[in-house]
Amino acid sequence: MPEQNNSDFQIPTFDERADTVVSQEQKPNIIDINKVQRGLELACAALASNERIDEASQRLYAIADEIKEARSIKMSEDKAA
Amino acid sequence: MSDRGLFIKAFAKKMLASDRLQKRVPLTEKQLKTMESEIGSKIFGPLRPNERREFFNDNLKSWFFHQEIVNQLGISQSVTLHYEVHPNGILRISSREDTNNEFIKGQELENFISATEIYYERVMRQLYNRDVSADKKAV
Repeated sequence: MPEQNNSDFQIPTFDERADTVVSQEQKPNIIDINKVQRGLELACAALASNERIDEASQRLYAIADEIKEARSIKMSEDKAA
Repeated sequence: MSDRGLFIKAFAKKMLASDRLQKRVPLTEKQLKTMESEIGSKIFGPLRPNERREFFNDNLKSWFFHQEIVNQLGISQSVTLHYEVHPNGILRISSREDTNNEFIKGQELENFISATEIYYERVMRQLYNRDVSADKKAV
């Protein structure tokens, strides 16, 4: 095996190929960073989406409440007139 | 009856009639919603001559969109969408059997929110004489 010099040296990455070179005994210790990252991204997106929906629902309740109040005021004013 | 008496009677009759005319009948909630819907229908662009639209807020949890189009054969096609606001999302319930009832997301959710914001701003300004755009800017 040729000796590696510094320029050829690469930091090992946990990509798909890792599965093919890592023995079954070593597998439980390997974390696929790409999958973890993707999982985190999906989790963050879901969280952001939930926050957006929650925010939207609260805003819609507030709008409907203000419209309801405006209708009541208008009807009271009309009655008093 | 003297001329004076006749004059007073005629005058009183006229006054009472004008009073009756001036006395407005208070608008009902249903009438207000109809007026709101008229404003709401214009949010989605100009109406075609063969088209009728409704868009209004019914209560705290419900918004309605209705569209009716009469085709060249005179056949009317319509759809009513009921948007139900839940804490965990906005459920779209369609009158059409070929459309699934589902929680809206993505662009549809954004479009619906925009439509409700425009509705709120226009209805408050045009019908209830309240400018809420200033309130929004302040937030």
